[in-house]
Amino acid sequence: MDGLNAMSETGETVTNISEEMRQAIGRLLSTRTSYPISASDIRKWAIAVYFPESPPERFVGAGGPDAPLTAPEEFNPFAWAAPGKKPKKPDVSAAFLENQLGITPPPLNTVLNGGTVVEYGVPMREGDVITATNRLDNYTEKQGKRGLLMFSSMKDEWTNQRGEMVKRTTSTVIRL
Amino acid sequence: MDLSVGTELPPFVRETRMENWNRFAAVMDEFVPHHMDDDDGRKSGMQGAFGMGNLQSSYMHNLIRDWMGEKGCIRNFSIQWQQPNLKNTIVTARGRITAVEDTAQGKQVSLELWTEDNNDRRLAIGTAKVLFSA
Repeated sequence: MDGLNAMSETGETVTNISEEMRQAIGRLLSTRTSYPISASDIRKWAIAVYFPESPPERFVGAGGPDAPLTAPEEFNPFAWAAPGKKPKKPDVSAAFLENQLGITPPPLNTVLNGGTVVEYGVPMREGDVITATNRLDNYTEKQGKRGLLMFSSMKDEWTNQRGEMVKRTTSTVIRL
Repeated sequence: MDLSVGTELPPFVRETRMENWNRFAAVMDEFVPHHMDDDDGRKSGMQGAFGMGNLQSSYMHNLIRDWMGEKGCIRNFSIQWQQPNLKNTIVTARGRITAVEDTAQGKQVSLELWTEDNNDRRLAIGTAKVLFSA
């Protein structure tokens, strides 16, 4: 039934999660390693998110090896360039997840952001190199006002060059 | 600092428009057409271009950081987006203490968070746990 929805005897969709999708739970979606975080990266991020007012001094100071800047918690070290990352148009389709996995997507066309849960570990600092490992966490479904909703969760774990946990993020998308 | 349950955090307020969104797109590499162009925003069913959900997340982090200073440490954070941040609206991030717990590491404060605009629209809701080390 890959790519098709299962129907009950009354014609209602009972699941859009195919066996191929179930088999993919836990699979690696991507791994990325950042370039070393620069003081300039941290300053620019802080200036952007506090605009038009000045960010706290700890994000925009001189930095350097003796007093490396600490990044705001939600800082993204993978924006723009990362080793081996090639510029490409982002996949904003409802099938983006299965496209990454190379499997048949569910027959759903609308995708909504279902939210993000983050656990923080050690802070990111100037000079750190961050490695991210993103996996498909789960597929679940529940009945909503607009029909059967599919919840797809992904777990992304970031560690620094010392192997310390920086953050664990669980992101959920809702498809219908 | 008053860490009693029910205490509200000083709000974080920003008037939002392309000036904010362009800067965030530039650091996040988030030049998605519906955030940049009114026509593309309308194609997505909105009134025009709308702001990035991740910027709402940053505003909530700013709210927490401005309140806790360098004494606290954000341990956990969650966000759910409810409505888009429309252009030329004033966004206010707010928070309230929901629980305080003494732990071996210090005082852990639980927060409920939200962002709203000047048209009484709630844009995002969230939670956080902040540790104030002993």
